[in-house]
Amino acid sequence: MTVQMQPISSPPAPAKSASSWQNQWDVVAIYLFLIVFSIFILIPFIWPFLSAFTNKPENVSSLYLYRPTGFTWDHFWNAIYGRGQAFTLLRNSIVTVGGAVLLALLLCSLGGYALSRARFRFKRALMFGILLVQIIPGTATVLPFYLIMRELHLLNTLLGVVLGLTASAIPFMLWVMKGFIDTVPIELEEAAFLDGATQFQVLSRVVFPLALPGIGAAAILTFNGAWATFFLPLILLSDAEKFLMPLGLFRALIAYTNLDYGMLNAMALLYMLPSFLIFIFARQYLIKGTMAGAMAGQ
Amino acid sequence: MTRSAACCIAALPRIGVIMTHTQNRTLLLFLVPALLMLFVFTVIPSLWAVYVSFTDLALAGPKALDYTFVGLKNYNKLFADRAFHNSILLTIQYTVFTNIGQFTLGLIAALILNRRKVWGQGFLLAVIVLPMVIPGITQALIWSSMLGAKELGTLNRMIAVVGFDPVIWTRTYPMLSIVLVNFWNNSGFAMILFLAGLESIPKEVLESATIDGANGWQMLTRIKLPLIRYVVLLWLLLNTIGCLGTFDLVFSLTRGGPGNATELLGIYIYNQGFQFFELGYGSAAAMVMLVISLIFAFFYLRLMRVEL
Repeated sequence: MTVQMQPISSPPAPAKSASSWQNQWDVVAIYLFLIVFSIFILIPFIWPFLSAFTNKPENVSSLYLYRPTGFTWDHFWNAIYGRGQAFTLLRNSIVTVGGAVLLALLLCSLGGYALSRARFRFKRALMFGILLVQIIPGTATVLPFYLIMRELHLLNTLLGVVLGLTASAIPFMLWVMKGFIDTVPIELEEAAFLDGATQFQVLSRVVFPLALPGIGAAAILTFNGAWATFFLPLILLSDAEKFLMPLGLFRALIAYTNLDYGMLNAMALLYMLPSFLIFIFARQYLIKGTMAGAMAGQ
Repeated sequence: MTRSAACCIAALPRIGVIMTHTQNRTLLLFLVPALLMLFVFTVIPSLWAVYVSFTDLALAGPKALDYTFVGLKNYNKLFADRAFHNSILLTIQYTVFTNIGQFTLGLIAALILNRRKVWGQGFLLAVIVLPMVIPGITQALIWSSMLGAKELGTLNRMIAVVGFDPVIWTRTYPMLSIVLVNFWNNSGFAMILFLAGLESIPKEVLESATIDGANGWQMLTRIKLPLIRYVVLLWLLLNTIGCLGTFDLVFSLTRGGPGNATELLGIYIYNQGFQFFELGYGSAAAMVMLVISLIFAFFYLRLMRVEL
């Protein structure tokens, strides 16, 4: 790319003209990259939709893309009422993940408030310690984590999964909550205290309502992470009727000899539905949250 | 009401000071439940892992109850174990390849989306971010069709257009397969961070470089990259730690196979613990992972400290 020399005397050029196309090949290369990259990302999504919503012709494996013979809801019926047992799996997933998100919200809104307002020694060290816990991979501590769960008799219980998911969500959420509560002016609280409000009233009437958008964003991010978690239920659960959705999908994927991919994809789409909804309606939160997570709430 | 009261506070600063001081103890109580959870489910397991790694504790069988302290035996065995060397090597390969690929893809996408007025910009940003919301297990499912072995596999159909013969991807090129899926699902993360970095570069800096006659390449290597090096380093550290701990996607796609061609460190630890029931030995392997990630995490924290 060649950039035109700007005469020094001219006023600072607006960014638009500085970046205007100097070279047709640039444009071609850029769009080529973007098109190829988009195709690369979107192509894998064709198959799950195709095989979940359509009938395949005879003598064709449903593992591959095929020319559909007609639209059908059968795969979804199979998934929910047939051997897919998506109903049980989804119910378990919703209960566990929902429970974990609520518990994490409760603990972290209080904890984040404390981190934001309290002044104590080692606060900085504590914040960094929490961050450290956040970035240590779960696989590094999984074996003793399993032992702890066994000691607490939480193996093969949904409660164990709830607690595990909550614990893994806490570090990130504490940081994010602290960041959001920092933005609520402390003067408002002090005013409420002067008016005779209790600590509880200050939190429920002043702080949390004002930090609500942030709390919502944190909840969405935590939900997305917990909903996708596969490792934790994999090591904790052994009874099929307690399986969460990712585990059910995994077991179906490795256990069935003659796989019904139509049904499996119907299950996968049901499972991905919240992810798609978050993607459509809360993508900005996700992007900002990812940044906040990496740069620790700055 | 609140506003006038706030004015009073401003006029009487001492009241505010006294109040926050007496509140401190109550406030710390609010922090206890969250920290307790962290302590029980994260900190204690990490410390316990240190102890377990010096014992011959097993998940089942006689050694599950009657285990003994064995000193460095696990570590000696570990460092002599070919399979462990293999998994360390694979993890390094995986980390290096994914870092290079994601850096390149993420940087190009970020550069394009940053300054250019590209048609369909919002759409492209969305598309690149899309795989990040998809759970790992479903990523594995939809890529099992992409990487399908026969000539009908989607990727094989695509390369057939350019005249290549079908490939049994997960058998012939297992590492390439998982790296490819990683490019697919994680480049968005790099792009988001790089984009944020690029957007924080002051316009004046770029303009003055333009005036000085910098070409596109010089602009990138002399100005943009040095200015976003902090973000790049953050991303590199986080991504490296993430690669070290990789489990979900690779395990559900290949289960570490064929043979142990994709048995990354995380899968190795899982297999030692839950396939072979050797918790002591597995914990020794986990210690290696813990130490390596702690080193990277330490650099990450140092970096954060500068900025906070």
